[in-house]
Amino acid sequence: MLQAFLQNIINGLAQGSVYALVALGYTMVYGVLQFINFAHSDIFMLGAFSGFYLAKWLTPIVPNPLVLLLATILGSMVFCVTVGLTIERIAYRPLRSAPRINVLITAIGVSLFLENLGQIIFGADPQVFPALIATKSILNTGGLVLNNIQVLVVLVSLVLMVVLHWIVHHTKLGTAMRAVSFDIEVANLMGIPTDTIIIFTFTIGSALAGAAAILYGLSYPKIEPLLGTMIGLKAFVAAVFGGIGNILGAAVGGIVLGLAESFTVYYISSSFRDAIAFGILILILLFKPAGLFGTFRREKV
Amino acid sequence: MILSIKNLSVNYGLIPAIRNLSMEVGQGETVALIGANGAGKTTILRAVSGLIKLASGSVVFDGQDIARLKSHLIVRRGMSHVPERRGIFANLTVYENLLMGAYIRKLLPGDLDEVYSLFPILLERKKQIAGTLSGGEQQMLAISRALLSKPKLMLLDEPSLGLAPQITKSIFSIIQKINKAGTTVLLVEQNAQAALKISHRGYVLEVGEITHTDTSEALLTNDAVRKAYLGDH
Ligand SMILES: Nc1ncnc2c1ncn2[C@@H]1O[C@H](COP(=O)(O)OP(=O)(O)O)[C@@H](O)[C@H]1O
Ligand SMILES: [Mg+2]
Repeated sequence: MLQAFLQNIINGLAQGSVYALVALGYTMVYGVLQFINFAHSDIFMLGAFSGFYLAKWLTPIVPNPLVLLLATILGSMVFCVTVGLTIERIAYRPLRSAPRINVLITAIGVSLFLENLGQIIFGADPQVFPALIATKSILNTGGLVLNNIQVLVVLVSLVLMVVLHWIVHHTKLGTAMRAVSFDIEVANLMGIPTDTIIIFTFTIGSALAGAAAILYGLSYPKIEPLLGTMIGLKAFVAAVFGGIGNILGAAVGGIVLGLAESFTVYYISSSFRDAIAFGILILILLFKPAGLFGTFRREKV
Repeated sequence: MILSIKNLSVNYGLIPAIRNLSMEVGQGETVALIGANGAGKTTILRAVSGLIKLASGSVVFDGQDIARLKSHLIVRRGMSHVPERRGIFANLTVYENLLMGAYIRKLLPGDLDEVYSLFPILLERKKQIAGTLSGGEQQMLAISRALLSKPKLMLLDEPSLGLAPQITKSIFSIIQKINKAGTTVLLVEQNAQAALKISHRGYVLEVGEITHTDTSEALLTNDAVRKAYLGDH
């Protein structure tokens, strides 16, 4: 009983930290621009594919698995940042003063575009993500299994979230990002160049999605161009659960969702794996629409 | 003239809010812009600091036309705008709000000492979330934040809004102090009495147009102004 419980915690944490990393991208962009960047899930997908190709290319050159892993993560992060900033520049920035619904529709358009482009370039069939690091069990007692990949996923996520927290709370840019997300107009009156802050926000969100994609590929080594859809939806639920726009909320939301899924699969049925996310979404929208840590902002006049 | 507004018109949609308005602020002055609620005072300040588009007219600040400049660049030219209702970042600490005030500069330790000596309460509340401050303290924070960009001209939009008379009084005396220390001030107020007492000159605004302008002393004794704005019947 206890082993099963702990096992679910382990699985849930590993899955949840990937959700959390992706959820952070949704919530930060929402924070500064008040719209859901639907293309974020496809940035995640592109991160997985960039990692796939990069790892294939690097594997014969780089003998050290740890270096290979770090290089792949960094490469995917850089690639995702490039994609994220390109989308921001050509699709979202021209709409800065347009009604929010226009931006939202554009985001959906960009998402569909990337998914179809992905199918053309990568093919619709799933590909096997290379095992950058051989799976080794670290712990195997009384039915409790813990492997190195799970530890790695949780550790890397944790490090990224700590770094993010530090950036957001202890740097001038991070503070400006919080200022912009509270009141973009007043931020302008402080001389804060809001476009720069928006670029900064997309950079961080996309980088986290890139890292999350590799961690995902290591845990579930099957990737395809529609990969982002389900992960993206779940990460979005996690962000709403934590209170969209709230950074801590997204991190907690991701972990909670991962744990909820893992427990649901074990104690109820694996066919509820995806349903639980939407169950949580409905519950939160019914009972605490602002999310766990969220407060609805005062509508500005 | 550090600020000169010429033939300014601003519309909200098709509705004109400011019509062909001209006014000036001289280097070192405190100029009051008074008028009833809805007269267009906030609209003028927002147009000057680049938050809303002008329909026509020009705004020359420190020798350069800034009418089409983005607001964050106007701040860099030396103008600082304390918005109506103060615009505190309620999610940030007092200290972080001050940091944002100094965003365009490198914050030197002495800068903070300066604002803390004007408003010692802010030093006490330094680490507190700004949203938990009282209205008066928030106004002090808003003014301090604006000072930290080292502006040549400070625009203040109804600093007395929602404050007890005693607090208004102390804030107005600080505004006077700031002006004496060399910052030019354009002060927008519904509280005409208080504003005219600490200013050199004043403009009276009625539905988007200037109806009177004179030295503040003269406006304080002007019959029409007294009747309309100073509660004399
Ligand atoms: N965002 C807006 N949209 C439409 N009308 C506005 C807006 N802001 C202000 N107004 C109108 O413009 C006029 C001037 O408003 P404002 O500049 O806020 O006056 P004041 O600051 O003197 O109280 C008012 O009639 C007000 O209703
Ligand atoms: Mg006003």
